[in-house]
Amino acid sequence: MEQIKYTGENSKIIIKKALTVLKNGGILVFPTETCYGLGVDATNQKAVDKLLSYKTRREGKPLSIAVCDISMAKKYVEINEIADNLYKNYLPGPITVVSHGLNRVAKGVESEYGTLGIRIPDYKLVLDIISAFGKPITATSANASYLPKPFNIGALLKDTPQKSQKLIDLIIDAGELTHGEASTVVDTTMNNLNIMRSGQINLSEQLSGKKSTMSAQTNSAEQTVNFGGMNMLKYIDEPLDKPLVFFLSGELGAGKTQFSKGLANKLNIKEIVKSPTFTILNEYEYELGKRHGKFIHVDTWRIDSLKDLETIGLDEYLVAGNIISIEWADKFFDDLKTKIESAGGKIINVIFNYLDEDTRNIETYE
Amino acid sequence: MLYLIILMKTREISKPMNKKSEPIILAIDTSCDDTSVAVLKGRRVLSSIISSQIELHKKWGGVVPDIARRAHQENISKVYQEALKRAKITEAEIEFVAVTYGPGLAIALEVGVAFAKELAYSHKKKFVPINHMEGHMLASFILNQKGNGKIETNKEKAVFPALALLMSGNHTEIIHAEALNKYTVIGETLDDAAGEAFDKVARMMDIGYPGGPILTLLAGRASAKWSDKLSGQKERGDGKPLIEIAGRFGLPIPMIRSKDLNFSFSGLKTACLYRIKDLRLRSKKDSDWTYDFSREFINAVSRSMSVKLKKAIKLHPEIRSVIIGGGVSNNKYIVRETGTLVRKLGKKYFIPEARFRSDNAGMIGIAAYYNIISKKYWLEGEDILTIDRKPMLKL
Repeated sequence: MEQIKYTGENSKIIIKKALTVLKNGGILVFPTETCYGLGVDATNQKAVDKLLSYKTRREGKPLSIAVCDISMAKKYVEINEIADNLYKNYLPGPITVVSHGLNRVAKGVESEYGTLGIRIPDYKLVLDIISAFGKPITATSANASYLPKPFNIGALLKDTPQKSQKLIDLIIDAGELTHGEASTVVDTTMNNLNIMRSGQINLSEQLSGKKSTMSAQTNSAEQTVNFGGMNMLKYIDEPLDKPLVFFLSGELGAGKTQFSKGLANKLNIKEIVKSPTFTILNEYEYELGKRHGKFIHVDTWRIDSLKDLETIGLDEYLVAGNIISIEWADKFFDDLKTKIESAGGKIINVIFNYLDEDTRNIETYE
Repeated sequence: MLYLIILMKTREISKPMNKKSEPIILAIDTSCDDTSVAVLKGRRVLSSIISSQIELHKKWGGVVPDIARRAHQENISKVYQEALKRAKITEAEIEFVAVTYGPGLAIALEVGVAFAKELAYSHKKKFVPINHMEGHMLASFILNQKGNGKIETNKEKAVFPALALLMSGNHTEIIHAEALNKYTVIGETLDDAAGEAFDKVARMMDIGYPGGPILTLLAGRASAKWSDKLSGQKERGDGKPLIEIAGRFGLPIPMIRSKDLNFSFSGLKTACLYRIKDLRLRSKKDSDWTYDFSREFINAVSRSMSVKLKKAIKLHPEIRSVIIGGGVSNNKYIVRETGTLVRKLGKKYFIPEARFRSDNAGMIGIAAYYNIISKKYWLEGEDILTIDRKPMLKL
């Protein structure tokens, strides 16, 4: 194990030594804007295995990798709009950006879901090393699990057993680091815009040329609730032999939950109807004269695949008498439509558009 | 006969709780995106495992709600084995099995409830069904493995009467707790939960998921130009009433004029959408405005929380403390503002250790502990089979 002090002026020598270590599959301890990190060639299986044996009983997160810029990142992960925005505006910095990996790193670096977290440390020496190396290095904190994050080399060595220390090839000692907080991890793989867009195209094809059966311009949340109520009144007398399903489509904050509140009001549901975003599916009982059943409030916002859509248990609710309201139905338009029609359900499409901050245009189609 | 059983139960429990007689509780929570299992001995959490922490389920911060996988039975037994292993407790030593039976997603709750019922029924353990929100409420009462915690043993009663402010991805509630196990919800969100508002605004800003930590990080870089002092009132024209705003972007402080203790974040969400569209048109790059904007958004949420909390304390001046819970309480700005307020009003302020703020099974275990010792509540034998998941369960 070699230890070298970084003075700010000896970066050339350090970079040279670091490259030798990385090329030979060795382990490097390097400074970052958060804490000391452990670096190995992220594409070298032997090196990664050696690193994993150093970090025994690793908890939680998979390894992340450090790159020097977005173009290097693009070689290892799919960069979507959200990731692109993060790289352009906030990196280098203490943020780990999670994207779908391209399976070009050693086994054990990507998570079992095929996602990979990428950092661009705000520390010039490290960026210079990665840039000269031409490949990403791992960027896990240099502590063994359960031990505090190391901000100076003395503390790191004190906490690291001799056996583990022997695995380290080079320590770049930049003195006491600034005790920055651990990097913030953000996942960019949620809310896949491609799923959303193809669903929206299917929806608009379905509605093209059709005339809306009801429409309203609402100027407040209350008016949106009321319009939901009017819709319920219009369809409440539908025959009881099939489920009635409202497909709600519109931007964030356009009034889908308010509309659903209006549906529930007219069903005499006394509970507060809240956004089902987190629970995905909320269930209420209703009783209206002779009519009774369940009011099911669904939100697909957090659902990213058909497989997950299948598991929320919607099928069991597609029975006569039940009334279902699905927010973000456009996201899985074709699949939901097929599912509901094959269960004999009637679909009402409700489209929400912003006119301005307070005003919405809402159209209902049969 | 029944009387005798009750008598026996009472005697068993009313023994002084020295370490030997402390109940060993296995707790399970599958109400959310993760499967979690904890083992407690009395108030001490011996282990608390979340599925994303074990090797097989390593993923990025538990952020993808992979429902299909979480609904899988195999998942829970692995987390269960790991929790026992880390606690150094055998299955035979477990005396009570506690599980979240609501609120949450039906198919997710089902997994935990079925597993817990099977374990309790077939191995003749006592069964304690727990409301997830009671777990959040009592998370501050957890002791660590060494027996240290925020609230000392035998001082628990002195916490009450209390108010609890619970804020998570799914809930924003104020609860009046007259005593342990005696709760009334006195305020709740009418639409989105606070955590959900963070996620959705982060989505509008294209900064990824979950929204809370990244918005907090960006807020930490707010410029000197942004100041809470710029909050105040804003005219909206057309004879509409004035609105209270949180700073120079004019984000509204939700529900500040409503007389009740309820919350609403949908209006703030819409205002953010419009401000963001406008700011993007007017700026070269996002980072020109996002730091200050994030700070103001958090200020709007935080102010809304503290205004309602203050109102609640005024309505219940007899309370001794305010208890905080839920993942949103990881937000340092909200903690700072509500903490300052509560202490200024002469009340004690309790917030769980960081790892027990978001959903976890440790909090289900502590809630079970108090159900067992103070209410002597549990089920045995055939009675266990009568319990079903309740997705819309209320406190």
